[in-house]
Amino acid sequence: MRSAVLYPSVIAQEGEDQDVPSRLTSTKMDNATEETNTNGTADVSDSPEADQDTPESSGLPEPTLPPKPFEPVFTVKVTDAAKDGEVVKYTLKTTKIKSDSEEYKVVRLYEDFEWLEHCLITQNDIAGIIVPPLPPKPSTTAQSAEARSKKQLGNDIKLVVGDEFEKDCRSLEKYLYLVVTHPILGQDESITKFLTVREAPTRAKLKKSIFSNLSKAVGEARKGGHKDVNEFFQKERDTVNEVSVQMKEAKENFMKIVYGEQRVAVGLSHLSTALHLGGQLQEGADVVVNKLFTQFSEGLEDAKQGLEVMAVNDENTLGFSLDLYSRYLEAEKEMLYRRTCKMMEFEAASKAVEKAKPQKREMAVAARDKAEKEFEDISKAAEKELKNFHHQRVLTFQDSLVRHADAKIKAARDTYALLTKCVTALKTLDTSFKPL
Amino acid sequence: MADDREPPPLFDDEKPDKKEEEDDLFATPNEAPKEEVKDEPASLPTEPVQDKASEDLFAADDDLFGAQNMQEDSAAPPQLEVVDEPPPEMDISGEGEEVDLDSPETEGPSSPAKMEPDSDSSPLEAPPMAEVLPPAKPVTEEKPKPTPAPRKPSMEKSKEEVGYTSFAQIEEEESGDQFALDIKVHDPGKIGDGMGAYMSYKVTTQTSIPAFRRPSMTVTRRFSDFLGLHEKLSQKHVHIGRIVPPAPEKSVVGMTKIKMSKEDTSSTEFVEKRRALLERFLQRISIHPVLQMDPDFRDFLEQDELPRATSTSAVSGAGVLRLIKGVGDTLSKVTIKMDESDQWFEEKQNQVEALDQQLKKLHASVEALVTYRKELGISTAAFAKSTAMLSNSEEHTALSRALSQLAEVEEKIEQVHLEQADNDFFLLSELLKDYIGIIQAIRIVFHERVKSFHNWQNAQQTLAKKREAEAKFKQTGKTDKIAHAQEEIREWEGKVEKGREDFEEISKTIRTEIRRFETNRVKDFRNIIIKYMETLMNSQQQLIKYWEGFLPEAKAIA
Repeated sequence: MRSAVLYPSVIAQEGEDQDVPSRLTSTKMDNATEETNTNGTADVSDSPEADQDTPESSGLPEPTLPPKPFEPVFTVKVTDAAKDGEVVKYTLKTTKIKSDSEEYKVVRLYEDFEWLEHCLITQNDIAGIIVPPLPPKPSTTAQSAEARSKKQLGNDIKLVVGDEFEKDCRSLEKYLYLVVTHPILGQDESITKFLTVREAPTRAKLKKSIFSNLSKAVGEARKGGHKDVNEFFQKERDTVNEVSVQMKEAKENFMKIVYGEQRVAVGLSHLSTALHLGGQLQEGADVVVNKLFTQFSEGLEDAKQGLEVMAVNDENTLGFSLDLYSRYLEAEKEMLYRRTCKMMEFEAASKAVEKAKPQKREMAVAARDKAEKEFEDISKAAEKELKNFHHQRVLTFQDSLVRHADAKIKAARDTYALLTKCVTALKTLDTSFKPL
Repeated sequence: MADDREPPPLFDDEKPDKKEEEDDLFATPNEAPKEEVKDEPASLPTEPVQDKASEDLFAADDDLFGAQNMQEDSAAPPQLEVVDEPPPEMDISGEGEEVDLDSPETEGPSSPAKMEPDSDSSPLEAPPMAEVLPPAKPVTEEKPKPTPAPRKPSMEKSKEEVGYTSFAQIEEEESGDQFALDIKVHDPGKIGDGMGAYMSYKVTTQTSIPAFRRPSMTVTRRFSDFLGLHEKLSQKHVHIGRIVPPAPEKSVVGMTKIKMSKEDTSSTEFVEKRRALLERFLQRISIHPVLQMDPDFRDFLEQDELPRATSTSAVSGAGVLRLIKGVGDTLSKVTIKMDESDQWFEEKQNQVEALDQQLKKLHASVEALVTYRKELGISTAAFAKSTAMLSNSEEHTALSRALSQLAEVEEKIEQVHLEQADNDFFLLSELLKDYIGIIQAIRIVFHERVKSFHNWQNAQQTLAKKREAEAKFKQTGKTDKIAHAQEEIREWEGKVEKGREDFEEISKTIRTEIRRFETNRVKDFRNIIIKYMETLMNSQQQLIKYWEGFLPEAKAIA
């Protein structure tokens, strides 16, 4: 009975489903923007076109019909993670939103996800897109489990933390959701194939070059400080630099709380066990004291369970969002960086025009015009992306915070109820004994 | 109150005894009633003297002494205590229902007045009572008169039977006019500066025991005064088998910090820890029926000025003597073996050792728990700061506000964790430590019994030698030495007899003390455990409160 009361609810998943329809309904409704259900958020523009752009508009716009709002085609759930040796196999269940009967079930490895990301990035013009971040590869080895346990529980607690498959499933699920609901990426063939075709797409070996990451970082450092022509973007860049660091720190500190809760739970468990083990002597006062201890130990178990439930819920609610956005903000930074690069190209091209000798001038002007267009395109795309991104971020955090508080309240209430029972049992315990 | 009903009557066959005991019990102010009094308004006295915000700590300290703060605890446990206290010195203790005799005996002169009606109903007790009471106070040091041996078996039996009856009786009747001795240690203050500095503590006593000069008094004492008190009580009582509450621990580290004027949280904690410890020390003495009437104890509580207890310092002459004695005792523990004829003692010693093991394990677990909880508090505070920073950077007004609120909530939760850690410590950890200390005191007392046995045996051996010598003189015709030898024989016969009596006396005292210990143990543990569970509940309630306050903010974001 005790365990039944305190099952942690898997909270994060529910949010996904709710978000999808709400985005859908708001975009379906008279081309209204997604922002209609908010109350005057400061940084979201009210321009009706904000989410109306479809992939078609950047290529061949349909001349007769008004631009259709993007509607995600699929809903995806990552239902299972099964370990096969050292490899983890994820089961994905996909349904088409428009027709519930069309269901797909596939099995994918993490490497398949990596390939998907690669395809999405290379087959689309992702310049102005904030690319949803793929969660890091889950560790599956015994050593990593041990290392993780040491990190979470500390060196003095000799327990091994279990594999976090549940968490991994949800992270991957969220990733797929972000891709599927993205106006541009959601239309990519790669994601459709990834979700619906039984066999995993063939992968080419991905060379993860250390150098490319390094040179990127160096480049960012150098160009990142370059002043922007646009105030909105300058502010955005400044803010994201600040916030991405803060978000990371908040996430780290939050996880420390979760680990701290787990450690206290272990402490309570040890004490509870020690109390239980006392009962060898069964005479005189010891009988009563042992009864007290047994009841006390049960009460401590209740407290421990309450904490464990809180830890799980914390991780699933606020912890999940903090983790996601720590990575997502990096993606935003990267997008802004790409734009900054384009801006600098444009500036360089403009200067080149001024300095160009007459015969080269026409070429220079053409180059500059091209750079200008690219820069404008990326800025336009970026602006839209940013607005969506922030709006989604606010909604996500709202959802997480509400769930977080709800979960805490429920766990605390349940724990309180169990403790009350324990105290009543203690108070009514017969403490008479036969003095020896 | 109905919750704590005693078990149904096991004593139906003892009605006549029961009636007498019942009356006597009501007349016995000290034991049971003391607990009762502490039951209801116990919370009241705690209020005025709190230095620290956390009320739990103070309430907890009161409870440590069997004073059940909780209203619902009717004094089921206390009756156990009442019943089992025959002060060994009382001649009376040899007779009839010694159980009942104890309590009245320990009260002091006022008891006779109350006793009178009872004496009618309990013919056995009446005459002895009157005699007993006056000597009750000053007698503590005196050697008990020999108790008639044949009575013992009946005494033991009646003690046990009476045990049950009295619990039920007291629980049912809970009369209000009882003698109480309520002690608080409060207002620690630093006196002086530098290496000569020390902490002084106020000790306030409320009592209705007439032996005290005033019903309420406050004195100022320093740590060495407490040690001095322990020293005096030990000298008087330990060798006759009484368990004297262990002396408060010295702490060089803690005191050095104080002397060096370090005003940080750890020194505040240290002072609070010590204050609570000193209070429990005095309270444990005050619930001991014999020790509470000790004049040195009374002086400690009453006298404005006490002579400096210089002999408590480790490096004083007395300290060195103690050290030597301690070594001697340790050696003798190893070398003196006793053929235990009394199974009870052997079993009890084993039990005490097992208990010691268990308590030490529990203590280690609790210490770990305290550490983890404190760490959780620190992590929570760090997260609160991170959240505040996020709130500052956030451009979305409503989200920013919610994050700011979240930061506040997390700060409050940090406090909840730290308070709970304090409760973990002050309730559980200190309780376990106290009992580990008491077990040490019990070991000492068992050892005294072994020494007493040894003395007796030695006396017997010497007597045998003297007899041999006398026989030899008779043989060899040294008539001049015979008279002297016979004198010596008589002398040693007396010593043997005394040795035997002392041994039996200490054995009996120890039995009583152990029973009292068991009773107190049940009571203390029960009360502390309940109190602790209630602090856990309280923490949950606070969490509920804070998160419920936050929820609307979160919902209002968008």
